[in-house]
Amino acid sequence: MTEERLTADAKIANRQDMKRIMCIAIAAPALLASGGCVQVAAPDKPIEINLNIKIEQQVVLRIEGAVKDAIEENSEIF
Amino acid sequence: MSKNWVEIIAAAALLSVSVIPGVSAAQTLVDQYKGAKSSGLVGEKMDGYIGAVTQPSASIEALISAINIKRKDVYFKVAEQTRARPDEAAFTGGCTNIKNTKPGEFYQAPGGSWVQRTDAAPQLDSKCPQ
Repeated sequence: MTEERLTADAKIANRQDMKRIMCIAIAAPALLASGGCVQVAAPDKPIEINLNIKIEQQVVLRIEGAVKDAIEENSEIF
Repeated sequence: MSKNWVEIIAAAALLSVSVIPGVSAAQTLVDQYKGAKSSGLVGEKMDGYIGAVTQPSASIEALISAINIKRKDVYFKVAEQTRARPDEAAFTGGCTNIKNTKPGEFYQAPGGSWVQRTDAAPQLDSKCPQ
């Protein structure tokens, strides 16, 4: 391979690299300008997190009396 | 009647006007709740809170959250006293509330559907005290 040929190949490669760089340089600000950022809007409903924690029957039986008393004491809302 | 008496009566009238609305507003919330319950608009859920049985109006939705906020307070207090979790207290309350429903009122069955209470015992979650 001659030296001339190698130089020509290198020129082509450089040109392609430059194209790529230019493309990124143009595209990045364009994306930012056109609302490329993530829009975060507050939800209109409260977020419900269902942890689905297991309820132990042992606990239910243990606290049943206290819960019943509290319900009776606040019967207007039960 | 002297001028002083007129002033005293006027002051008393003003006072009663300013005090009574506070009382009647509280009664209204409870009355609204009891009314919505007996007419089948709201029912007892398994989690210890009330829910809308049918598509709720804005006022029913507001009523549900107002009652549930108060209930949450009660459940949290019991949970603190018994060293249980609030959701455990609320769930236990749900068992009691469903048992306490009167025929005609609605409650949530273990499958999640709304069931109208009859004279028969309600369908309870297997973890509810029998």
